[in-house]
Amino acid sequence: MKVWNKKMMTLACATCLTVGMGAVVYADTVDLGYDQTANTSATVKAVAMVKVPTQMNERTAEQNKIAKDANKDAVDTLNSVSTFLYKVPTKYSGNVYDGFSLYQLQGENHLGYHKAYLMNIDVSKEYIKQRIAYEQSVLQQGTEEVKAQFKHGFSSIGSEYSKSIAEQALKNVKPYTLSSEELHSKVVDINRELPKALSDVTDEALQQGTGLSVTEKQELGTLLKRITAPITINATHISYAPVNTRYGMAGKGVIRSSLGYDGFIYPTSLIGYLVPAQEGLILQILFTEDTSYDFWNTELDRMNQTVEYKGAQK
Amino acid sequence: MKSLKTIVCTVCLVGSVTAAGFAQNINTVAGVASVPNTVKVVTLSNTSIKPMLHDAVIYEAKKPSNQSYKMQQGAKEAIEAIEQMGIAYDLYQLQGADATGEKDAIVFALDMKSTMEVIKLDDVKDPMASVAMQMLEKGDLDPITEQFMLTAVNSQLPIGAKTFDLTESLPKEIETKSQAMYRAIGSDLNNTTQITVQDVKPLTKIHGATYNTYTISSRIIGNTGGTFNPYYANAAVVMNPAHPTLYLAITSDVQRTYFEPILHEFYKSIK
Repeated sequence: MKVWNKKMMTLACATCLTVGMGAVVYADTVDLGYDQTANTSATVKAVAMVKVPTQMNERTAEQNKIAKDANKDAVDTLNSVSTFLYKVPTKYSGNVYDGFSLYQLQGENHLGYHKAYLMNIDVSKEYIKQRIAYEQSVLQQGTEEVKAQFKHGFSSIGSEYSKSIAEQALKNVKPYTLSSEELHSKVVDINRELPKALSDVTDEALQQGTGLSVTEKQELGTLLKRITAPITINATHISYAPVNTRYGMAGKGVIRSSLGYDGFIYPTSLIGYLVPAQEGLILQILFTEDTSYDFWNTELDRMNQTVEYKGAQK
Repeated sequence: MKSLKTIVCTVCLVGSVTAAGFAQNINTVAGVASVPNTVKVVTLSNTSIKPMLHDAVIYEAKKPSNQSYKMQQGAKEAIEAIEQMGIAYDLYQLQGADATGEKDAIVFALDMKSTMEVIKLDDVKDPMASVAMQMLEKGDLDPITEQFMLTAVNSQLPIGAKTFDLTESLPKEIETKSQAMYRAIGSDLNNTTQITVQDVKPLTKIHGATYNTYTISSRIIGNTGGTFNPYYANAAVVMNPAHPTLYLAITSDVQRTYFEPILHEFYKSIK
């Protein structure tokens, strides 16, 4: 019996050693900012492409420069895009992001090798405060169509930001799921409107552009309209639900869609989490190809320890 | 017992009728190919992209800054190349869906005969090129040559996974600076460039095809600085004597099991 046990022990040890050496164990840590982290499962590798920590004392000079440039671009873009879309002037300033990070996630299952890009954006309180003020001014001065878009905006949480207020706001949004059939008519409508919307954007860009004669602008405008006209979008699934995570209450949204160009398509999936923190909002966006959706949805749920929120509105 | 046989026969009959009607035909460079009705095929030469490219070249060529002989000649050649789309070459996207989501694969087709005529075969010094061209024009290989070709190609293929390191060797100082920059932005990236081929399926003849057709496939994983890009590539040579054509299909690795049988039937069905 003793000899038998010894042999069994040797076999067990050898098996563990072989399996241990054969399987690569990752369980990498992903930095979400505001002192929050998430660990990938043992078979998923996270490769950091860029990281800008939210804590200033943890940043290098290069990371400070990246953050400064990104914030300047964000403020400029927000000011021009918001004014263009909502027709109410903006004066955003300061920092939009407290930090951000981008990872490539790598995994494998029976289908093959899966990859995804995971971006974590730490939206500053400073920006949220300005956004609330802007939304309030749009709700006073904007058109009815624009007002409807801000129904679930930042201003719905009140005039100040805090983690508990933001969590309550996420709970208040009724969960919904739109299937491919339900989305069909909406997609048809969007694609009907899309050429005009894109044409307006190109016209606006050309109007602001300098260094071109009127004729050149007209020729370029015609060409750009032809190039953008075949762009279409399609969606097969859109959903939102408030969920419980290891960080507290969060909002989880999914968009499975494809971008089309004259019949050619690029099917993708986007999974987003909005996680309120004391210092600001963490926006987590995972981008992958549509076939890898199930794999990464399961992995992200595991990383965030997502469980259904039972008290959601019906 | 008799009724069971009737049910089985009916099911088989319905099955075969459904299977027979389960295909749609599309025109490709080497001939008409079939795909299941659940798969949509988009052909680049049939889209608005072809005339748009044509007009874009003319628009650029008309600019006063592009009036030199070299630029005008370049524009002329570009227009000639665009006009060959759908004749000497084309690009197709196969689109489908299953329980895991929407699918897409790109298939590029190149008529080797037309291409060799364009690049003027006489200019190609390699005698093997003219021998290969003669074989393609004949559209047939005698069994000995065929076996020799299959053995020659397949003996070179890796067994299991093989990684090719294409990392550019940089001077140590630049390498150190570059690594320091990656670390400074909190990145795990590095200067590695590698291509791994694995699960290579050897060059084989597709039996039952109208033209002699040979196919080969592999999973190809690119590693650029630590980020990876996993693909599945599946190529075929369809020896239609009038249009000997090379097909190259590319899709992501996770769509391999969906597209592998579809591509096999696509190549096999060309007539």
